[in-house]
Amino acid sequence: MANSGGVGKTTLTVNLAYQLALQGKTVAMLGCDPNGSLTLFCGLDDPPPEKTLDYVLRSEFKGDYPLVPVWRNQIDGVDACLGGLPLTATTQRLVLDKRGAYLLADALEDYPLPHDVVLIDCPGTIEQLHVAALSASTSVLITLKPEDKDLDAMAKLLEWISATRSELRLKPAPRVMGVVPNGAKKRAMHRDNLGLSGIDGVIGLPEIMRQMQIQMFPTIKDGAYIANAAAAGLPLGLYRPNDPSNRVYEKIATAITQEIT
Amino acid sequence: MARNSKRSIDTMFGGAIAAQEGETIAQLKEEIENLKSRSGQSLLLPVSEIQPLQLPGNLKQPRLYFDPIKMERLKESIQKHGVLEPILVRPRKEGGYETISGERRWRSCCELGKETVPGIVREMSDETALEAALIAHLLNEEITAIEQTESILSLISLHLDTAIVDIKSALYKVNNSHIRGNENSRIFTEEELSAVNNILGEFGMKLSSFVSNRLPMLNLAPEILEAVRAGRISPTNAVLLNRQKPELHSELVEQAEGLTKQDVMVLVKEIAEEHAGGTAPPIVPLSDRVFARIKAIRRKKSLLSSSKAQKKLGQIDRLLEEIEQMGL
Repeated sequence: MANSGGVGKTTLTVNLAYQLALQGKTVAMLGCDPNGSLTLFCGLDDPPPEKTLDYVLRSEFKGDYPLVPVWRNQIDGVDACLGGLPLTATTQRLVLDKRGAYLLADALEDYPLPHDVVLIDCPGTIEQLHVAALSASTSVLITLKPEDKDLDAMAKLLEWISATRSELRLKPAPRVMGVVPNGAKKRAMHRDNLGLSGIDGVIGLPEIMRQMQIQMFPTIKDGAYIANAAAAGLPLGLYRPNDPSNRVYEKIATAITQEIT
Repeated sequence: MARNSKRSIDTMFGGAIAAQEGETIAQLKEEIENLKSRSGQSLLLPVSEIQPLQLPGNLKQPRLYFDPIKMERLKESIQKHGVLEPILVRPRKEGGYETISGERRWRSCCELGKETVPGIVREMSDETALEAALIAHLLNEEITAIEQTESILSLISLHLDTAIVDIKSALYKVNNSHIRGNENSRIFTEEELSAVNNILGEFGMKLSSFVSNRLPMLNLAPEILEAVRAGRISPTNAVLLNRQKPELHSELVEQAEGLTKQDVMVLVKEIAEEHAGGTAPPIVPLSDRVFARIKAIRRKKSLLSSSKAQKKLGQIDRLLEEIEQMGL
């Protein structure tokens, strides 16, 4: 999740899926974003409405997830249920449905996916699909750019998560597994926000996260290759196996593996 | 927060931190309340491997009073029915467990020579353990209002990471500024205040009544405190008695037993008057007192010439004039 766009949510999703598959796990990615970026990042074509996540959240859904294999010629174990434009209508339906907040959780409970890990790629603004995603999750990963506007938006996301999981009485409540700073550049603002400038009185994100007992994963530096890999529809690990950012994704994947065992 | 930022990172995350803290209290409260119904999921823990909660010195534990009569009753009940509600413990690094909630039940089992006690084991950090212990303490129906007040203060102190004495004085100040209609004059930040209200609300209390009815309970004279602990007088009455002179305390405590608040108010007045009666000067007629006062003040020329005094003198003059009129 994130409360701003373009901060690396889908990038994180596809790269974690790839790294988890490398570790022998099977992974299902659920695209919750009406922009359908997951489709693009997987190198696929936009699916028809009945082949999107929208179908999973309909009353006629009977466990036949519209899953598509991803990067199958290069690695086994990764599937995706794509999002896209049809999800704008889903959002409206969720508001009206009596169990709207729990529809995704209900689907996953009634028809469990066989995969080891399910990764949900959320939109960049808090809305109804976030509620459904939160209630279906065990853990939340948050991405952000080390900009003030993203920090402020993330603070609001954290507040929203606290309020919503209490309000929905989620048991067990999904916990914030960690924060992944993304797209860090050699700029004063980024260094300050990441607690790297060592100036007195400049409090960075790491200190606040320590206070909130939320793990901070290593920072992913800005680089053209990440965007290029996405454009090619590949995870960075396949597009540029030696890129140092792969180590960060690997580390987060390992943390997820530990969480599920 | 970057060096040129207008909005500080503390401001950004204040709401998120407060929301998270409010959540842990609600969660722990619910979890502890549900222990009773979770007896099926409890393990039988060896009594000998359990010890009381051990925390580093800076974390103040809820004070437990082991009333011998109540302990006897608890032992009898355990002897008859066993431990109905599992105790809550955390595992120790060195092996064994520490009690979070249920120290009385565990002690009873020790004394009864039981080998095991049903318990639920949860990993907890020192802070969470203290918070859970305080909440468990607060949910115990048998604790006195004084113990409850102490535990709530500890809980607030834990959440705001501020010493209890400072919390107390800050609460008084906030309440006073509310009464005077001032804004929360920077005593607590907005988030801190909302955390305080949250904690109080969780236990059905409001800041104003907590300050005026509960906090004074912590300053009770030893004699009065003892009477409250023994259940002889109510905490509210204790606060009333505590306002009287220390030499009257023992007499008041004795007579206040079992009285309502209204009765105690009457009693306090009576006893105070009775004691004042012995030393009071003989009653002088009112008119003599007024003449004596006027005589005494006559020489204080500079005081009388001040505008404030002049105003008052004007009032007296008018009143005397009214009295004169009555005689006509």
